[in-house]
Amino acid sequence: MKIAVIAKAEINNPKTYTVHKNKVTYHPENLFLSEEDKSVLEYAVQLVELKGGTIDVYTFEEGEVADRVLHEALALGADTATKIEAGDLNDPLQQNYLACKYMHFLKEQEKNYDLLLTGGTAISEATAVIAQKLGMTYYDHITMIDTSFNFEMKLEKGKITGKCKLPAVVSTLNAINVPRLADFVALSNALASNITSVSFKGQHKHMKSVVNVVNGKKEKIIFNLNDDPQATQKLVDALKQNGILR
Amino acid sequence: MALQYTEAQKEYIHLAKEFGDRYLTPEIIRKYDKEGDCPISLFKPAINLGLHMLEIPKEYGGAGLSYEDSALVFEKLAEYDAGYALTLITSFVALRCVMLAGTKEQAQEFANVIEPGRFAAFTMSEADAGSDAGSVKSTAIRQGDEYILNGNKAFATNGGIADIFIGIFRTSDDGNHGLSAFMIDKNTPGIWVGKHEDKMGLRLSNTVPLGFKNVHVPAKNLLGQKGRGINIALNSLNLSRAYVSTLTVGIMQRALDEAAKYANEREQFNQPIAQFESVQNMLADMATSVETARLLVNNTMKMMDNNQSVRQEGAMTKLYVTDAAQKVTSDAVQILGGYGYTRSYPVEKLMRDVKGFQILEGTNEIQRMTIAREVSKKYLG
Amino acid sequence: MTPIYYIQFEDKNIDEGNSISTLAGIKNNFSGKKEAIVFSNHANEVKNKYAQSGIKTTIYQNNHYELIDFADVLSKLKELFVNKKEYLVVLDNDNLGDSFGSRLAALLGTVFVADAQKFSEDNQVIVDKNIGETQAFRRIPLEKKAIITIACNGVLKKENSEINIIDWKIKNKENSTYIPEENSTNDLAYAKIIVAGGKGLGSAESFKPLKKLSGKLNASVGASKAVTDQGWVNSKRMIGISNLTVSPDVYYAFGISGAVQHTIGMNKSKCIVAVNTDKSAPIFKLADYGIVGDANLVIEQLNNLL
Repeated sequence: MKIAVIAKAEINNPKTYTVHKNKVTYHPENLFLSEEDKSVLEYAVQLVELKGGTIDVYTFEEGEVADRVLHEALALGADTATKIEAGDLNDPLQQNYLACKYMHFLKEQEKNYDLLLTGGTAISEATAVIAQKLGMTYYDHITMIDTSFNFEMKLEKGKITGKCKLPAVVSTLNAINVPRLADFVALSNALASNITSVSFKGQHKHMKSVVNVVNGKKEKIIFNLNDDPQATQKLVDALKQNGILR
Repeated sequence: MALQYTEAQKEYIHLAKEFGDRYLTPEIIRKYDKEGDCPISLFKPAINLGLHMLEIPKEYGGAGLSYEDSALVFEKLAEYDAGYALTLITSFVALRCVMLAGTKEQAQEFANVIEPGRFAAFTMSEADAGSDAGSVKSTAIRQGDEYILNGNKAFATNGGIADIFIGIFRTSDDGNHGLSAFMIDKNTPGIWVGKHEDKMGLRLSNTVPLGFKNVHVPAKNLLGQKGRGINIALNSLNLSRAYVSTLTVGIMQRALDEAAKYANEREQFNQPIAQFESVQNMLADMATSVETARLLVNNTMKMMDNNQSVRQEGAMTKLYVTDAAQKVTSDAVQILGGYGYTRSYPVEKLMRDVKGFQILEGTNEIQRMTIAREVSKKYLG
Repeated sequence: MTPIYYIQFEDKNIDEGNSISTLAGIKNNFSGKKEAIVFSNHANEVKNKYAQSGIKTTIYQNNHYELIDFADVLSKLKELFVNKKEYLVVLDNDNLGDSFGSRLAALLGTVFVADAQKFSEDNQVIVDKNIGETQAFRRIPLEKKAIITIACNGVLKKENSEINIIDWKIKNKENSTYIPEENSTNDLAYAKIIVAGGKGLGSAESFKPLKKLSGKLNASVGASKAVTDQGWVNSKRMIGISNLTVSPDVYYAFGISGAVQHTIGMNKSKCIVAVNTDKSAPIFKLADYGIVGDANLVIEQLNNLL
């Protein structure tokens, strides 16, 4: 089986961005391979243990974060690691473009994957585009998938079940299993391994979204009915103004 | 952070943190600390990760990390439990000793025992021979192609769980120069393991007295040369002393984390207690101690990686770090106040654990003696 | 102003994708021209819901339509939008909406933003998106064509609107199955707005005005364990550690002190409004809005104001 995994850093980490006096600071030193991607990699390793095959890991992260994420993936059982320098995959405005570029790259390299996996649905549009352009079936918001490719996709009040048609792109909702820990020997080997670097030239002009800060600490709005008989009216006004009511 | 971590170190430490978060949860540690038992089954995941041979070269089945990198990994593990970390360290330090002093065959034989996950212990201390190592009375009498060992040992770390020992026994009457080191298989008839010590701290570490009655050991199990036992012992102490220092930094870091978190949450007189100057002073001193301690340990480890002698630096490191840690852990309990004084909060255990390190691997008094001697050497006429 | 299209699903066999609360939120928060596009297998039964929403609606009807068949809906939507020069397609901010939104965006080659919040709509639609649980967010200027999922609620005032029901051909080759969850018939478990009462309300009778308020807010009624233990409210409505955990967009807590056993069941609510006589009650630590005062009085006042 030929499996590809798109590995990402833990974007939900509250320590990634800190805010001080309206200035946003990015903290890459706190970023490591996300739990969802570790879980998806664990699934890939189980598939390969059962059916044989290879696992290629790709990341769009930058700099030290990219190296770190790839080292962890290699230590967990990936066969090759490739860093793609092309843009921020977490930016919705760039996802379509990056997915197309990545798809062309895979076609050029003649990589025909049976399965392309990623954890978490943060890059949904990118995975949907990759699936669509490569003619692979797309499964997202997956909460269960086993080595016979039975899957479960979670909706609000229930789930959709079925069997995956390969080749497929699968993006999971949360971690789907408890991934094994890497060992220090594997990590030490991964640190010495070769990481391929790929750069997509010729970026076309497109808008980028801007990372900003939440306007200060959220103020609580609490009224006192004993002191202010109009408290309830004021509460309703505040809720309406902030879009909570009507 | 004062120490500038390399990228590789950040990744190793992260893996150690993931391991600790998954397997060394506060509930588990609290349970074993209360029982005072070394939980052998708890070491299986550590062995799977290669933590039992972290610093050992790959040719012997180890992960081959440098002293510097492995020290940072064990510092992180000590944040969870120092006794647990000490158990792993004791094993591979013993192997490293054999590699330094013995033949390649002996090293391979020793490695074959611990690689699959069994433990090793180093035993020298006796009831009347603690700091005064030269007073070791246990004997090793040559008989044909064997040595017959007799005597009683005290405070053997890992003694009750080890499959292989390095034991220091007296082969002649020349004081310090009459001691020799032997590799001993635990299953050799005549070895008796005493009752596990009910210690104040480091309770996950196994500590037992050992008895040797007419234990026959093949002559080929002599490590290095006859009479060189004290040097082998000192080498072993060099290594374990350095690792004990790094474990102590881990304990200090944990103490600082718990105290700082609590101080910023706990409110008295309508504000978090972290706003009061007396608490701020304590936190500031604690943080400074942790950073300086870590830098000192890191430097000593770098010297060891460079094959430099750390007779003075190692002693200074252990002395400074463990004494500083006593104040840091005590302040942590002080900051957590009444709650900190109870077992439901983790800080009182940190105080108890650290006290052991002021005594083990060479008391701090002995460290001072060593340092003073080294200092004076430079000024001798 | 960019025209706005809201996509909805009405499958008589699957209780998903049919909440009208987001539609209300869009109606109240966006100024552009609005239209709803609904896919259904029982248009005649649901048409009144949209006919009274005040938003022009087109319902694509086919008796064999199934909610889990994405392919047919996507190809119809592609057909509808491929030649449009300007549009903002909006779906509910849930797994179904996200799934459809991303697939449609891939088909049409447009931008997709999940979990967006409107920032401005003047020359160009700009939306904000939180970055996980960090304090930072992205400000995203959308192009002329974009697809978003959005969390906003409201209550629809009854207003007549145009309805078109169009018959629609489908291929329906889907071979997966939908399995509802055990709680799926419990309106409280998935409610976007919850009104909950605690011991501070004093008696079972006080829950009648609370129920009236819940009707006005289009909300489900919940209760704390203290109340269900007394039998004032059915135990299925208990929110807390031993029964239900909810995460609505808005949670109103009336006369609830905020003990940990309760708050564990609702602290993931996006917005919490608390009313309690005790200003040091722990619920105020969690609340975004609140009133220190008698909960029964506040409920009465709210019923009069709304």
